[in-house]
Amino acid sequence: MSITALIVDDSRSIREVIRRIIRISGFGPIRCIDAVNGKEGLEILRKEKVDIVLTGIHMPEMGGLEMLAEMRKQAALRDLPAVVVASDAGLKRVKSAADLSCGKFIKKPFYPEEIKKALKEAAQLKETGPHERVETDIDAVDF
Amino acid sequence: MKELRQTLMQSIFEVFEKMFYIFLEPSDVHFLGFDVEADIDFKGTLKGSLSLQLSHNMAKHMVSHLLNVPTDQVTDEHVEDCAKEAANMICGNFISRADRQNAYDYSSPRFFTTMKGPWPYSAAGDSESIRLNFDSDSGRASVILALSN
Repeated sequence: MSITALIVDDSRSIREVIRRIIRISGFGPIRCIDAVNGKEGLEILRKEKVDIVLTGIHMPEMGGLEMLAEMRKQAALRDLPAVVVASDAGLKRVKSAADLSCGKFIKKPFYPEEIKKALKEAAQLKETGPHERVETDIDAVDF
Repeated sequence: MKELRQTLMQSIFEVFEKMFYIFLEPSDVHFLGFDVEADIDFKGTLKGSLSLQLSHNMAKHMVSHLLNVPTDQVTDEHVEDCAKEAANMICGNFISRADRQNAYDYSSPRFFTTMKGPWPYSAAGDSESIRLNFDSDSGRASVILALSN
């Protein structure tokens, strides 16, 4: 099964690293689309069928949490699996992400396995179809 | 300040080891003449700025390890983006450890390089600052944390 991942981060390096991890993850064909901020991410989501969103938080024009808030207002994007990948991992920020049904909060710096695990879960969700809205386990974020 | 210094040290090691596969050795030598610097401001219960200074060789190796490209193919654009992201990661990681409970605002990282003329060492002269120096096989690095009142 092929899945499409949207990577939203203003750092080209981070987008490339995540893309490379996805490429070597062994999940078969995974298409990656890049966006440099939340605004561009939303534009892509309007046009493309995406299975998982991986996003940073602080970006020019529109940040990742603002993008997630907009997504959750739209029926078509309300249950789309989302993963936040960010260095700003204070409790309030993690809680905000959880309130927006962000399934996972990966704290930078990260190990490739953390991205792979998130993708695996997204692939499983695609296979099992509609799912319950997930809650981020704040205690699972390693400080 | 001693506790913050220890926390900052942990964050720097974690970022360099996890993302760049570079193992830093703390150094007492106050190096001068760094080639690139990335700065970021933070504002919350703590307020100030963090500066990451790198030798060009260190910056090139960081890019090379992060993106899996040979050092001779590393571009200036790569170096800028990588230095800014490294400063962002160290700062976010440090704040998340030092003050986990509160939300912080962060500026966009700024980048300076001697290739484009001298830059102002904005953080180094502030009253309350921590400077940590490192050496490694890949080059030199310093991190300066400046706290405002």
